[in-house]
This record gives sequence, structure tokens and C-alpha cells, in this order.
Amino acid sequence: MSELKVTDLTVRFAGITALDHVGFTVEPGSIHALIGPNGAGKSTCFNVLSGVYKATSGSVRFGDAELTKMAPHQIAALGVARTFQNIALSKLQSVENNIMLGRHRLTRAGFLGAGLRLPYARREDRRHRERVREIARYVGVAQYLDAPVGLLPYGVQKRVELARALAMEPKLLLLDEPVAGMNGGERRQMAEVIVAARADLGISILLVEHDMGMVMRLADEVTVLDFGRKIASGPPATVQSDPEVIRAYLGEQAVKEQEKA
Amino acid sequence: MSERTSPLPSLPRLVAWAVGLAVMVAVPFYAEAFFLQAGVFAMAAAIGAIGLNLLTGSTGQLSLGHAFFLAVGAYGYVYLAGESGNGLAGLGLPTWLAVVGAVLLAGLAGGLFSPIAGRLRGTYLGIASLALVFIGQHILHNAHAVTGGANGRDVPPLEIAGFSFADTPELVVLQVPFRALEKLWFLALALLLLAAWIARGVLNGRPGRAMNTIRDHEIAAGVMGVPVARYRAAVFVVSSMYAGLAGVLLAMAFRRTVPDYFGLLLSLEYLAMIVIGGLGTVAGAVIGAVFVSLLPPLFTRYADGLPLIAPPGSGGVSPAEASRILYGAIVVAVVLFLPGGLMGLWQRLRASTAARRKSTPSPRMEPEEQPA
Repeated sequence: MSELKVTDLTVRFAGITALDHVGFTVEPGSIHALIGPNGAGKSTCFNVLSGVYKATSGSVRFGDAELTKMAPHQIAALGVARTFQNIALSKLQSVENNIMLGRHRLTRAGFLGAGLRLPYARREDRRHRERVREIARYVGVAQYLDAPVGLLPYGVQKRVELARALAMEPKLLLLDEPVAGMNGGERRQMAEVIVAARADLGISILLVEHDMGMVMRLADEVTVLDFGRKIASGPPATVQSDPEVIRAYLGEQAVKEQEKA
Repeated sequence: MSERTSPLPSLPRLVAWAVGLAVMVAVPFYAEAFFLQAGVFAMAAAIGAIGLNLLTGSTGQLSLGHAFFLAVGAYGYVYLAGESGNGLAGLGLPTWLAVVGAVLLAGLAGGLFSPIAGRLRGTYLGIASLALVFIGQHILHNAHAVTGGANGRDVPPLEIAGFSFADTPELVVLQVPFRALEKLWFLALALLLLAAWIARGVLNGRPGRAMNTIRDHEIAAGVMGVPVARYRAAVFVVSSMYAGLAGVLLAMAFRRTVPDYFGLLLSLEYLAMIVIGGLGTVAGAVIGAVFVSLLPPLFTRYADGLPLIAPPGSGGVSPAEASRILYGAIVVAVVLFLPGGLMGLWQRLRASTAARRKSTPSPRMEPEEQPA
């Protein structure tokens, strides 16, 4: 298992500095949370890690690979999977076909193989659909396999996205607000799946989340961003009482009150 | 839709296929030449439309250059199979080899355009591919030795293992004389079934899922491991090869290729086919192609009986114009009211009848007698 090491990462868009010399390390097999107020640069960071944005300077190393120089599909080939803050599924396709897309990097069938239904392509399809159904059961969406994704409730769609990412058999999983917009029950269920996935599959997880309760429960390590800069990092309990973090989240007043108390 | 749930097709579906096939096989024994010609054109167009639908409907890449690749197929066949002489060049290859060569040539032309087809997205590719039509027109009019210039070239009839798809020698089957059109009908039918079968396999398989995700969410496709640019380029090549095959068949049915046919209007007609039929499905492309390519000949045939349509050359609205106006209006109507086209309409009808059949009647209640 390899670690993800972000060093001195800077991203500028036409004069705006979205990330300013940010650095952190995701240890193998750990859950690392990336938090911060809106506009702190969390999603920008995710987009650099998955190759969607180009870094202005700095480096992102995953094992021996330098991710900042790679295209998204090359990063995916290393076993880096991600989910999106706003659901990015094919709405007209069935849940099963959406999850099957996660198997893309693990399968080979091309236009000729699929078009002519060559034996290897059919075998491959059968084998991988079996694994996809297994993953769907694991995430709790097995009963929706044949339904078009667009017809399903929001919480289920979020879980389908997680299933699609798990179908890539990733080594590192990037989750962009996995429980945003969910109710209490759905949140608990999602948190259970995330913890189980780490335990059963041994993957490292980098998590962007606004739900502090969830972050404190799940994360081994927290990195806090504010206006593109890292303002704190450490175990959840330490970060929670850091005055710098409280100021960023709750304002100057809250810090003074806490000092008085 | 997925092939997983029913490895064997259901009985009603099997019966529908058998009946449809029987009808298609029976037509040449009864229909006159006019309908056969229209039918061959429609089937050729269906092959081209399936190709365009792979690109535009399933991958979200607009192309206005489809006419160019139809032309490459048509002229490629004529050049590869034609004999040199009379100021024209030709390789004189066996005609079956020329068909394969023409399809590959169209694929090669698509491949040459692929640096652009891979990088540009959606409508941007549409604008860029527009250039192909004008380049094509220029070449067709001026590369006289290959294309025959504005007057075009005769199309050599296909011959496979001694069996000729020409009027002579005449073949008599069940007392019906089989001339070129009857033979071409079966050729077009066989090629259409093959083309549709392959396209369905592609769409239901790994490439199809990647294509749909590129259309629905390009960034997600890349992040999930799909090399987006390479896929776009590959689909463009496949779509060009479909156009090439359609072009070969059209040339054989026309018996003479002329450059004016392969203009921008033809590209727009193919787009109309897939929009009317339904974007993203093989059946939609076929339905749309049949609809769009049968309207003008039917209008011509029945011009007398139809209001507002005058025979060609008599000053009124010609059948070709009338059909163009009509399917222009239909495209607008489909976009506004029928997302999914005629195919989508059919699926919705089936879904609603299935729901009605399933639904149990809700229990009735009588008003309770109230004491006065």
C-alpha cells in the first residue's frame, strides 16, 4: 500500500490563488478528512488529485507516481477512485451499468470485442457483473440494480456513486461530501459503509465533509483549509480545539468566548 | 435493455422478429421497382444513421460532416472497383474487395480527422466538421480523374464469387425475375442487420458505457478511467466506417455517383433522422432513417392525391421541398414534445400499457346510506 503525499501544492486561476502551498500526507489504510469553510479550496484539491485541474506548482505523489503530470484516466489506472459533490452518474442508464463503468480500467473489451460479442468479451462481462452485484449488496443498492439511476432518491444515488468508485477496486478513495444533503439515517448508513470499506478492503480514504460529527467519528487525521491555506492538521480532537480553526469556522467572537470559559 | 436479464429473447419478441424478417424477405417478390429502390435507399440510410447515432446520440459529439464520409464510401468504391480509361482512373479491384476497401478508406478519413474529433466537444466538433463537407465538395468537383467531376461516375455492379448484383444475368426466383434492385434489397437487408447487430453489441458493452458517460458527464468518465479523447476519436472512426458502408450501398442503388448529392443538406438529413427516430438507440436510428428517406419518394409518387404538393417542375411546392418542410417541422415537434423521438414514444406507450395491465383495479366503495 502506498501513501499519498501532497507537498507545497499551489493552484492559481487567473490571479486567484485557490490553493497556497498546501501539504499533507494520507497514510496507507487511514481515513483522512479535509475540512474548511466554503471556498477553502477542498474541491480544487480533489480536482488536482484526480487530474481534472492542473497544479501551478508543487507535487502530489502516490507511491512512486507523480500525479500532477498525469491525465485523469492514468490516475484512475493507479487505483485512485473518487466520488463527486454533485452526483455525476448517467441518469438514463441502470444502476448496474453505472457501477459497471467502474470496471472499465479492469476490463479490456473494445469496439470489435463488444460489437462481435467475442467469447472473451462475454466472459469478461459476466465475471465483472457478478462482482458489481456483490459490491451493490455491500453498499446496499442491490434492490435497485435494474432501475435507471435518474428515478432513484438522492441518498440512493449517492450510494450508487460510492459503489461505482468501489467497483474500481481502488487503493485510494477520494470522497467529496459523501453525506451532504442526507438525513440522519442515511448518514449513519453511509458512515458504516465507509468504515467497513476501509476495514474490509484496506483502502486509504481522503474525505471532504462539512458534517463535523461525522468527521470527528470517522477520521484518523484532519487537515483544515481556509482561503487556500492549511491552518491546522492533526488528530480530530486536537484540531477541534485549535483557536485558528474555531476562528475560521465560527469567527473572532467565538474564540474570545472560549478563552474566557 | 440489458442482455443480462434475458439471455434468450422472449417469445413475443421472437415472433415479432420472425414476422418482420418474413415481410422484409417477401417484399421483393411483390413490390414494384419504385418501392424497391426507395427501400434500398432507406436501408442504406439506416446504416449511415446508426453510425451517426453512435457518435451524436450515444457519445454527444455533433457531426455535420457525415455527408463527407458517405461520399468517401461511395467514391472510394467507384475508384477501387472502376476501370481506368476515358480520362478516369480506377484500380479495377474485385468489387467485394472494393467494398471492404471503401469502408476502410472512410475509417481512415475519419482517423485523419481524429486529432480534431478527439479534442473538440459536442457542438464545437459540429462546427469543425462542417469544413469537411466543403472540402469534400471541392475535391469531388475538381479531382476529375478520380471522381469524374460534376458529372460523376458510373458505379460498377457488385460481384461476389461469380454472383452479380446487376440486371444481367437475370435470375428467376419463384417465377419472379430478380434484377439489380431485388438483389440489392437482400444485400442491403443483410448489411443493415449486421450493422445493427454490431452497434447494439457496442452500445450494450464496455465501449457503450464509456461513450454514454462521456456524453452525460465527461469529467466523471475521465476520472473513472476512460481515456476520453481516445474514445471520442475511436467513435468518430467507427461512425465514419458506418457512413462509408452506407455510401457504398447508396452508390450501388444510384448506379451513378454525383457530387451534388453529398452536400451539407445530406448531413442535415442524417441529423434529422436520428433526432426524429430517437437519439442513442439503434432502433431509433433505423426508424428515423426509414421515415426521412421514404417521405420524398412517397410524396413524389402520390403528389396528385396530396394537397399543396405539385409534381416536380410544375411551379408548386415540389415533393422534395414538401418533405423537407415536413420533417423540419417534425424535428421541432420532437425536440419540444417527444424527447427520445419516435423510439421514445414507442417505449413510453409500451411502458404505460404494461403498467395498465399490471395495475389491479382499485376497490370500489358505495356511498353509505345515511338516515334521513
